[in-house]
Amino acid sequence: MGEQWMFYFDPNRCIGCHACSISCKQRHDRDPDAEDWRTVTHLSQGEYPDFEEVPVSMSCMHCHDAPCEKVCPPNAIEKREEDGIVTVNRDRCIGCHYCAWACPYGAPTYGDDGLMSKCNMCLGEGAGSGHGQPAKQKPEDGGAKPSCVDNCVGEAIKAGPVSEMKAEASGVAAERFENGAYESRVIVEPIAERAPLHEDTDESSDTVDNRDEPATKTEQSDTQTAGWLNG
Amino acid sequence: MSKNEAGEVALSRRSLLKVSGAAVGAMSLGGCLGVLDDETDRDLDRLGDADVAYGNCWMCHHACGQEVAVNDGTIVDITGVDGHPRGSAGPGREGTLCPKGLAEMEKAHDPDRITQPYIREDGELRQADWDEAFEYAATRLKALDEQYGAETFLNAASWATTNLHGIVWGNLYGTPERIGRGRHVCFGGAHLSGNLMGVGTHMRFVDYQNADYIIAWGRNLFESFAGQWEPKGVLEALDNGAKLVVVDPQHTPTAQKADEWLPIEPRTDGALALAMGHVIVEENLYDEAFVEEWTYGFERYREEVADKTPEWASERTGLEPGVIRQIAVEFAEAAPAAGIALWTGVGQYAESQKASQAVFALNGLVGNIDRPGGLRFWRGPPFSNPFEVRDIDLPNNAAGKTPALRKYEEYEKYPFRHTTGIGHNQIPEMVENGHIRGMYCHYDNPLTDGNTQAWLEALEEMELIITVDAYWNELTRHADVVFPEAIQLEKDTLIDYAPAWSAYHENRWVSASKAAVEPQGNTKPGFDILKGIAEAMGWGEYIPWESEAAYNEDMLANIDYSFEEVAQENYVILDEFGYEQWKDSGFSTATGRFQFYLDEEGGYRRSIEELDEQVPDVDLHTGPQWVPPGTFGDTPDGEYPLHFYDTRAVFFAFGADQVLDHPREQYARKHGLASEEYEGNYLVMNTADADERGIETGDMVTVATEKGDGEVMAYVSERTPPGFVTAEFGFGQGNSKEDGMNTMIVHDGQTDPISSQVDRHIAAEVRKTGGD
Amino acid sequence: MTFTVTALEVFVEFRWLSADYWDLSIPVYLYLAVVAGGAYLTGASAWFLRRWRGSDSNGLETEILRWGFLVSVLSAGGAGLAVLSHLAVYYRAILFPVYLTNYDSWITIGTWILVMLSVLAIVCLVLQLFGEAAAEGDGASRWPRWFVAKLGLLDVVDRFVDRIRPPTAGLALLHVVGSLFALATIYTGFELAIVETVPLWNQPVLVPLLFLTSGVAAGIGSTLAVTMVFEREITPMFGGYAAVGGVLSGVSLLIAGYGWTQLAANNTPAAAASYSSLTDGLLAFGVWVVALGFALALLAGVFLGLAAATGRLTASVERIGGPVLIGSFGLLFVSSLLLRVLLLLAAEQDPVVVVV
Ligand SMILES: Nc1nc2c(c(=O)[nH]1)N[C@H]1C(S)=C(S)[C@@H](COP(=O)(O)OP(=O)(O)OC[C@H]3O[C@@H](n4cnc5c(=O)[nH]c(N)nc54)[C@H](O)[C@@H]3O)O[C@H]1N2
Ligand SMILES: Nc1nc2c(c(=O)[nH]1)N[C@H]1C(S)=C(S)[C@@H](COP(=O)(O)OP(=O)(O)OC[C@H]3O[C@@H](n4cnc5c(=O)[nH]c(N)nc54)[C@H](O)[C@@H]3O)O[C@H]1N2
Ligand code: SF4
Ligand code: SF4
Ligand code: SF4
Ligand code: SF4
Ligand code: SF4
Ligand SMILES: [Mo]
Repeated sequence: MGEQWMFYFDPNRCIGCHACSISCKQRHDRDPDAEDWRTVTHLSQGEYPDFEEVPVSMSCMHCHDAPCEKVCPPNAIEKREEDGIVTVNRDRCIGCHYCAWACPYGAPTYGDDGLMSKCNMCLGEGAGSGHGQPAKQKPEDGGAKPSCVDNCVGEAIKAGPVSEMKAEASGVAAERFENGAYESRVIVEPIAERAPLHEDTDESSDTVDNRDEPATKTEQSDTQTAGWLNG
Repeated sequence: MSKNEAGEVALSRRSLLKVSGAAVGAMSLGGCLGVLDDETDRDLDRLGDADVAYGNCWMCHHACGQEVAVNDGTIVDITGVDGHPRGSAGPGREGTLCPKGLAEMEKAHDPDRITQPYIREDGELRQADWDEAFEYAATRLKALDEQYGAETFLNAASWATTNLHGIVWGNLYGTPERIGRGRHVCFGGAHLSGNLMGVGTHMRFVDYQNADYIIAWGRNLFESFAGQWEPKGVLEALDNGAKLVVVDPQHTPTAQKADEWLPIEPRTDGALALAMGHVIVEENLYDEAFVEEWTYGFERYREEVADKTPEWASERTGLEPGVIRQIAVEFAEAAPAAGIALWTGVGQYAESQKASQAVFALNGLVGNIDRPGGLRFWRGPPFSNPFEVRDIDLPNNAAGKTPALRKYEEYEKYPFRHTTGIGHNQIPEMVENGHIRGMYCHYDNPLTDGNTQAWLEALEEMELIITVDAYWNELTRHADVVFPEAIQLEKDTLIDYAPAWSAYHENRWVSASKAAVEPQGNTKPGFDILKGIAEAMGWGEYIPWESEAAYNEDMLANIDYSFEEVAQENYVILDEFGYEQWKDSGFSTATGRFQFYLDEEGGYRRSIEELDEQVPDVDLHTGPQWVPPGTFGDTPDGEYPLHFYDTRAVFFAFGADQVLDHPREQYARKHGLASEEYEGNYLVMNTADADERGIETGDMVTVATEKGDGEVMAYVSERTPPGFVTAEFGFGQGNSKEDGMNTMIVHDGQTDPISSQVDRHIAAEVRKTGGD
Repeated sequence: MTFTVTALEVFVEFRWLSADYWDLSIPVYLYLAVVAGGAYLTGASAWFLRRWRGSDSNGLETEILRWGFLVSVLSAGGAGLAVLSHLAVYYRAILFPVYLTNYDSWITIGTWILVMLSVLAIVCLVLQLFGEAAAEGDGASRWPRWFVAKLGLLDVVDRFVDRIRPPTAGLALLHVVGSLFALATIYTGFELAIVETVPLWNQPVLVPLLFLTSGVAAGIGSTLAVTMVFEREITPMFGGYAAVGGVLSGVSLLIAGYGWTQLAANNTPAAAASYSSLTDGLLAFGVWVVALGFALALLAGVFLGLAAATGRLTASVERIGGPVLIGSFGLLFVSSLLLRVLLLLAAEQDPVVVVV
């Protein structure tokens, strides 16, 4: 079995531009009004001026435990041995939508034909493509770079074998991933606290960008893990 | 400039292509470098046997490198070019395309484009062939010249990939009337301040990667960027520990990433800047050596800011005095590796020249000019003048003709006539007065830019309108000749439009591409259109180049790369240029120094003197000074209590591309309104303003001003302050995307009296109109 | 700072009714499958009661058992049509033994359960509708015979059915097996409960139990209500059934109430969103209707049922008892469906929580 591929996302580098959604659509020749395989959601909270907003880009995470595959009645969904990519065989799909119920990320989409389609890590082009293809190769070995990754303006999304993604992640994010954050389905960087400088006037050194300081914050964050992680 | 040097700095792309040299050599139109070989891991579908070609994105005209896959004449995939100076974070870095750049693929095959020349016959536009259209245009141009004089014809060419329009309309046809986007509708106030003070238009782009401190002052760097090198560069800086401060009334995507967001009262930037200057001077944090040796007017500036305390500014800006003090200190301490990026936020209001002057003064104060991490004096490639290369003796038929603004006494009421030749908002009046009778519009729609109702009437009155465009709208439908232009991916282009600022902060560079696909339908590149007009006018001898590529070849005479070579590599990195260039050449101002005071600039001084007489409340002088909002332009009042302002979205370039489906769909999805039938822009308003008026997201609302009203869908959000409502421009009547509201339909010609810049802060009221 | 992406926000919008993700066919399917089970249990138990009490074939037991099987067959058919109408490729579903190969999937398992229950219910119904005994009997539940008579096939069918009728032991076995499949309709609860990320659903005991008790209560209730329309008398046995229906309805109310407190105490963003959507607007109204439906069925079923079962029903009460039972079981039928609709409408999930 080959090494599992996965996604990495850094909300700190995501500028919320939706280039990933559009490039995915164009790569796979999908209509503008079709549901997105990769979505960008803008989360916000607070009242002006105490307002915050964070963009989050998501697609199918090619979960190691693929809940969608487990529930698919006709075995149309395959969690591939060779690279962990989760593909769909639309010649078997009955369009029951059960995978969408089971998927924690709302990744499966359905077109007018009612058949499931979703991100295939750009293993092919178009709905249902990639199924039955040889193992995913890294771009340096001639494989196609996922279009969304290739066009992420903020370089906020990455895709690759798990070990590589862990290596690329910050210490905190990698450690959280190890500890089962997000069910170890995806690596997400914690939001760097770019706290207003003036709120801590005497100790401005406290406001360091914690992306560079993963080690010091790890312990503290891990104790929070149970509370805020879900899915 | 030299190939050897360039060879050393040329990075990944170049060496990559050298390896696969054979394939490159064989590359012709559309290229023939297979994207994928047989060893691929993928389902070979449309991309399977596609060829690779390059482009330089022209969606927002900032030229990020594009790599397209072409299958049987159709573009089937599009992506960025790694290491591209505009589209990547620098050497060896991932090249990408923003949503607009990606959408050029859709535009290439958009069936709604104009694909045939049209001419007006018996009052109606009808299809014509090219020769007929050229002949027709020439006949009409000659008639206009004979009857009224060529000086009544306005050259309103915008985003051309060639400078030929200046030659054709200025040198040959002989009109002095020229309106440019950047100067008159973009950031006129700040443009003027920058030029006169000595930082030029460089004040928009910081030397991001080297900066420790970046102030995005009324700049939305993560949404409205001039090439993706900007957001990428800022992200790099943040990763390296730089601080980002955002001065903006709205919580923008840039504010999302900021260490400090200063939610300033609109139009009070001058107060903030003066107070920062006060702190920096008072605490002796300024660059004494630089100020002493390289600036002009400092003593008067010091006096001016003496009483502008943070407390004083706090009352005007709504910001905490402590914050103002702290930002000032941090900025000065980080300098010279501290830069202010400023563009339209402090460039598009009635007091914007004065406000921006106060901001730019800070650059002179801390000496961050053309020093690493501060403002950068970018340098473009050393292009040659093709006319000189070919020894063509060009006449200058516009010489000696005075633009109407300066010629006729009707315009003496406009102080800006001493600083500029024309103003966007005043053109309808000039049309009415018979001083402008015709216009050449290229990639430009004045109906989006300001004073729209007056402009609609002016279009009716003009005798001759020639447009080079791609879509139907009220401009093109009003034209007498419509020339359909090929898009950038359909033509050979050498990027000569401000090809300076980029992720390569120390190198010049040049970028070019050959047509990736055939022009759609019967369209032609702008170069060919101008050449066609010129030939029909009998000026063929002056334009001997058979194509844009040949013209470009001559532009490269002084650079050791041929057009073909640059196009094959998409971009080439040229020689290095150092910092502190003013040490060699001085500042390009009247005094040769950075100028706090502009009394040596004659035109400016005269403008101020005239304006001073018109406004008794404020004692105007030529230095940085506080001009309260409403001194010129609108102020919200009882009847129109809201500030109405228009914005940009990362999905659209100006008013040009709103018709494309992919970006528009994502724009709607971002607002959660994709399921609505409505396809226009959204009026963003704060919950407090919305509640007061019983408005909810998705309601149709009417924006009313003294001038008139428009209808738009509401989007209620806390990202905008109470009292400040905004809508994306480029929609509604007059635009190609007619759904939604043209924000300028309620504009009454408000103008910055010093620079002629369109003032976009309008007093308005909003009410629910029913609907969904 | 914590931000949550709630991916399937369509859940809380009413748009879903028209969307192909979650149209009304889903709760209808999840519901009717268990109603079929409940009605089958009513019919099968009446068969055992009849044998045990040696009642004649014209008694109320026969009416209840025929109506039970009939309601079961119609519900199972309805469930099947509902689920088919939701699918994109019907024929692959109809060829389920070939296509549905994932036996870990509750839909595969459920399809077999529903199909088996339908087949067994049809067999039981046919055995009760036709044959000599049925031909000689009376009662409104015999109406399907009228169709067969119209086709002129009644004699043939009666004779054929009598010929294939298994011996009593076989019949008993048939009804036992059928009852097991009827109870297995609890699978509809598992179909939702395995969805881990939806806090409203992911209760592997609670949701299946609730689906079973509420569905079976509705199955019993609807069988009784239909029978009641034709048989005005509330016999003690009838009272017994009503009491059982009422108790199951009460149990459902208890389970739902417990689930409600669980949800209220769960402060993950998705649970909070579900809770707030259930306590606000139209959905809150639905919650009241469900609670009222279960409560009324509990009261009416237990009071009237126990009174009748113990022979303490006064004549005047008996006169209004019928309509009251029909009304409250009718409401129960609606409430039990509404329960499922609400569970789908208020579902939320948090795929990614981004944090500082
Ligand atoms: N996506 C996209 N990108 C573009 C363009 C485009 O059309 N679309 N256009 C390009 C061009 S030509 C230009 S000129 C640039 C413009 O680049 P920017 O100037 O960065 O663009 P805007 O989005 O107009 O940002 C102006 C900001 O100023 C704020 N503002 C408004 N009033 C005030 C005020 O009184 N004071 C302060 N401090 N801020 C204020 C607004 O809230 C807004 O966020 O963008 C370029 N990039
Ligand atoms: N209301 C408002 N107006 C503004 C601004 C604002 O903030 N608010 N910003 C101003 C600024 S900063 C700037 S720089 C200017 C920019 O202004 P311009 O660059 O002039 O942009 P538009 O006016 O949008 O020009 C759109 C025209 O270009 C045409 N077009 C589209 N695609 C093509 C093509 O491929 N080829 C050709 N030849 N034509 C094409 C469209 O059909 C349309 O007629 O806008 C200014 N106008
Ligand atoms: S994200 Fe959803 S669709 Fe993708 S593998 Fe996981 S469960 Fe399946
Ligand atoms: S919709 Fe298709 S892919 Fe999804 S679970 Fe049903 S059969 Fe499987
Ligand atoms: S990997 Fe490919 S298919 Fe998946 S979201 Fe990205 S672009 Fe779309
Ligand atoms: S392309 Fe990258 S930066 Fe843009 S929205 Fe997608 S993930 Fe974010
Ligand atoms: S910023 Fe976007 S639209 Fe502008 S040139 Fe670059 S890719 Fe094209
Ligand atoms: Mo601009």
